[in-house]
Amino acid sequence: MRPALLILALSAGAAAAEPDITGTWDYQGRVEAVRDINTNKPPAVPEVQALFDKRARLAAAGVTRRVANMLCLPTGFPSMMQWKSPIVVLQTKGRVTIISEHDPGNDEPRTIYLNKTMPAELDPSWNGYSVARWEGDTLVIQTAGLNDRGGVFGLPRGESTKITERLFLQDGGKTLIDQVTVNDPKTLTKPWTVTLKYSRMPEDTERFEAVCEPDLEALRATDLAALKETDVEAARMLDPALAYNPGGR
Amino acid sequence: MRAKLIAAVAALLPLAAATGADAHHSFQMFALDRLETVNGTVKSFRWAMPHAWITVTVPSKTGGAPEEWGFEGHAPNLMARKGWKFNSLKPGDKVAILMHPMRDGSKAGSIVHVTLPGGPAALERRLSERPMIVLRHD
Repeated sequence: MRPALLILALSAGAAAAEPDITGTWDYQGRVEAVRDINTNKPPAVPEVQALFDKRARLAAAGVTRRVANMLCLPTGFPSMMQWKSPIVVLQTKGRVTIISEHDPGNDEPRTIYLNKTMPAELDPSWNGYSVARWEGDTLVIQTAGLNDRGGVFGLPRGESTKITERLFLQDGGKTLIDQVTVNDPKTLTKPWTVTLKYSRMPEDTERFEAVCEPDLEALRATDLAALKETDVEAARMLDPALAYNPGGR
Repeated sequence: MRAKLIAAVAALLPLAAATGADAHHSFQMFALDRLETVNGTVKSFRWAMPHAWITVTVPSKTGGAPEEWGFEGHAPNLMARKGWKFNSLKPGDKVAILMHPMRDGSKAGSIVHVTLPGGPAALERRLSERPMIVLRHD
């Protein structure tokens, strides 16, 4: 009885000590590359470097916009946590929820389940499946089950992509740091860490709607075939097997 | 005018690093190294995704017919955090618009801030490290 009570007391104490990350957080950029995106480049495998080179050639020719952006598809995790508009973090029983206000994509809330193990089989999704636990003052989050449509800091992604985050407060709770380590043998030669920084906004900060409007004019002007190797949504649109609601035609 | 701008969007260069890769379009069509002020009268204010637009009637410098200029803002949710509202401007308002002009010289620009005469000075804000559109009053 006594040891059980002691354990209960200890765990209750640990729960009470959890940092308060609930709030509205203003994205400040990447710690490694706030101004210069060319620092902290990913250790990309040759196939991915070739993809980057192809995209760079297209960009030089004036083609920079993604089809996903024209269609207002979600940007997915981690892009949904990196925008000029803030994120809302909510700590509730058993989960942490992150709500985006990322206007170029209609992003879903991201759910991070606490004290749960990663399911063996995952249905690939835009934000993936996230499980986490507190290690002292750091929330350690594991994410898998990402679909192959969004990107991870410009890298392609999919079933082989595993992401570990270390989320913690700094500056007496005024700053939130998210160290995002990407593991993916298909795209990277070794794990790669990108650190995201956020500033706490006042409690009365309002959230605004930011519903993305599809740009069908831009889509009509886009040569999908020319982009099929560099833009996954262009390739999908050209694939009859992936047509919108095929059984409904 | 807007159709012309939208057409220009197709030929854009990559976004500045700080703005990320997923914006609706690049701001390279604007001369971001140049700042000019245009004074005129608001004809319309479009407060909608993906970008707010202000159409302004500007007196001709050469004594000809008044010119119509278009000025692009950010997404409404981003502008709202800088003090803008859906009804911040109305037709007939006299405005001074500080903007980055179009590289090709067409009558449009990217808004840095808009000054309305006669309001509280408290709304005035300096441009920050992350330049955003600001509504201010003289």
